[in-house]
Amino acid sequence: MNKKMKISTLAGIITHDLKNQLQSLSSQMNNFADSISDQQQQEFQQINKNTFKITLEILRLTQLFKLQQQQADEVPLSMNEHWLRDTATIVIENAQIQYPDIAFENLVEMDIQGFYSDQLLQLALLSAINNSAQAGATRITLNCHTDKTSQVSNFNFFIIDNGDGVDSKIINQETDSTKEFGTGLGLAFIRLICESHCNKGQCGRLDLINNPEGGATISLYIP
Amino acid sequence: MINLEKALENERLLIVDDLVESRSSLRKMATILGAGKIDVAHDGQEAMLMISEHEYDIVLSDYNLGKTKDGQQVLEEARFTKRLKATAIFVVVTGENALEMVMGALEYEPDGYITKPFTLNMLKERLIRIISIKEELRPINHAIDLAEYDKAIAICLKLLVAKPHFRLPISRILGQQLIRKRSFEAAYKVYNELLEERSVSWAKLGQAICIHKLGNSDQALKYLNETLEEHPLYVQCYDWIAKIELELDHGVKAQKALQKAVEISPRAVLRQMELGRVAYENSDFPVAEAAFKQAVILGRYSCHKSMKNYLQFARSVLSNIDEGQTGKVKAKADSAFRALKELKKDYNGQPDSLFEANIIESQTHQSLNNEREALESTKQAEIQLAKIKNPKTEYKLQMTEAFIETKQTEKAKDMITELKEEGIELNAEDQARVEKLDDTVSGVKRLSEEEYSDQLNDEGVKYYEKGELVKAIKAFDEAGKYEKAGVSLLLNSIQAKTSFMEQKEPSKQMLKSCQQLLIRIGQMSKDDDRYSRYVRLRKTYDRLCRIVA
Repeated sequence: MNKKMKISTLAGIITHDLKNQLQSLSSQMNNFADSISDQQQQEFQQINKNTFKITLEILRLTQLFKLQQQQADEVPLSMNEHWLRDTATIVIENAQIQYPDIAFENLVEMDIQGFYSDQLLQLALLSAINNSAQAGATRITLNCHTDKTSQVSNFNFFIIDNGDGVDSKIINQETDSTKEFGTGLGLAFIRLICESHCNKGQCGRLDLINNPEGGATISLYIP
Repeated sequence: MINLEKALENERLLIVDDLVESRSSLRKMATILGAGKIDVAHDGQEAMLMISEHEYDIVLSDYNLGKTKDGQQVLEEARFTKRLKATAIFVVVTGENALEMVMGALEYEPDGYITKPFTLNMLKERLIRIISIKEELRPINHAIDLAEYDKAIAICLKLLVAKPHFRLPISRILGQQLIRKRSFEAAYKVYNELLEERSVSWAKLGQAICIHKLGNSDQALKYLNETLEEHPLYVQCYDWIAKIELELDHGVKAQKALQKAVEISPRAVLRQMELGRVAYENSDFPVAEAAFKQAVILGRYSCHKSMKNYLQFARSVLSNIDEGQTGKVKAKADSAFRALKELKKDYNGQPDSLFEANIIESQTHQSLNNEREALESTKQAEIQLAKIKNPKTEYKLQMTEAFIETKQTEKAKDMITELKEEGIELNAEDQARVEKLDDTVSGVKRLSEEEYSDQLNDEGVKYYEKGELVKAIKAFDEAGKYEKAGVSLLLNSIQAKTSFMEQKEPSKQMLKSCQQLLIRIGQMSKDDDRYSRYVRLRKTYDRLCRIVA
């Protein structure tokens, strides 16, 4: 086994253990939530939020490592067929823990399949929702458009919110953040994920637009 | 979409996970979702036991299941043995890393997966999707369960038109069934249509298989290598590269491909067996030994358990002993003896297996100079051979060789006579073997003991001069068995052994053999020309004894 293989194997084992721990933590928290009073539930909700945030960051970190490794090895991203509606459902399920006051809507059709990395797209969508929430959104809709003539072709995933909209500097890609202490990490991460998805020489893309009726739409194009 | 509670109500569900918390959490979730009959298994082995005892409708299995089988192997065995019907559902629970390895599988792919960490609702949504698709495809899978493959193909073609949103899962099954029916051109078309739109890993593999079957192996290899560039963990591509290379008579390339596959997925019994077989053919005995060892270990609780693995493992060990390092020889031989013992216990009542096991055991004992044990194993082989109705010529030849090795010359001669008189038309190779054995037996009888001993001594000297110490030791030992063996020969034998131990490492067994030779030589006169050589060898022997001590 060469050195690179050893590192990736070790990382794989650690990631596996980490995911088992997260799974275990998730079920313990569910059990705990069932056993506490309504008054304690509020406090618990904050703990749950923080736990979810840490989980999300850990997943982001492991995915970044994986992407870095794939780029170093010049191996294309491994994509499989997934149901877009299911991906959106899981994302909303997770986002509701973090943002219980936001109303989510899943408009993705039931029977659309796409070719993508499920985990990466979930993380990208969660990052997009995070951006919408920071822009003051109270309602977020997930939708998807695809080429109806084929079941394995390109799709556009939309995160439509009613927040403050996006600064034109961000839309024009002059910066990823206009906030004083913003890192722009969220958008950079979403862009990285989109661009990692390639098919027949064409790679994914991130677009931002302000909606005429207010709020913004983040569009993830996956070829 | 289905009502999950109703769908699970009457289904029998098996949960497989080696971690107690994950197991109980999954069980709790399944109960909340409405599953009535839930069983749990702690590892792959227990899962297979339960699957063989009960008919499960749904299996939820973690991919990593500890030391025995992984989730993919449970799936493969369950489907291979038809204990898990095509209409039954198998879901792999996994971290994403293993996903690439299971979802690309062309033949034994799971019906779905769920990645950790997940919540109750995520599991619910995933199960609703998987069960709904399975229901849509039930007519196809039902036909497969009944082995009505033409009917399955016809339903696939019909559903492709009626349910275009299920094009991918239907195309996947259709391709498999067309390959099963050897309709390679039609299967190629199915895969090609998909590939024109995008690079789907299982379609690329399927296409390569079809191209190979249609006669263009080079192109198939090119496709497989291209697929591996995109999906480096796609082990089945390596398996097919090996198959094709073997058909092209490229044994070494086939072995390389299988070694890569085993590196990625080391727990598949069939793959280890194939690697062992190919490596043995290539005379790469260390690789063969390691692969067959794994095949024996992994096969213990598998439907792929085979006495061939035990025999091939022991044969590989035997082949390694000839080239081997003395320090490790005993441990290696012991592992072979243990495997053969297990074989004798598990395949008791099968004289063919027992005969072969005893022959290899005898040969191994011979290599270790355990004459008494070699003779005993040969006797056992003889008993088993007598139980076999119409034994193969190969068995008789092996028996003759064992008789010769254990100095049972008369029995060897009788067996050769039997072979000659049987009137069976031997192939050229067997005929040559019979003649060679006949010569050997006649040679032993024709020469006097002293002459034969001298002849072996000369052989030993030649081997020693060429640096082939193992062969030299063997020849000197053989020559030394005769009482009239001279001092020079005994000194030669000590020299070969001490040289070998100096080159490799000293062993107690070999030092004991040197000691016996020194005792046989006894006190040597200082006037003897060979005295200085004797003293030198004695000193070397003492030094090696000190090292071992």
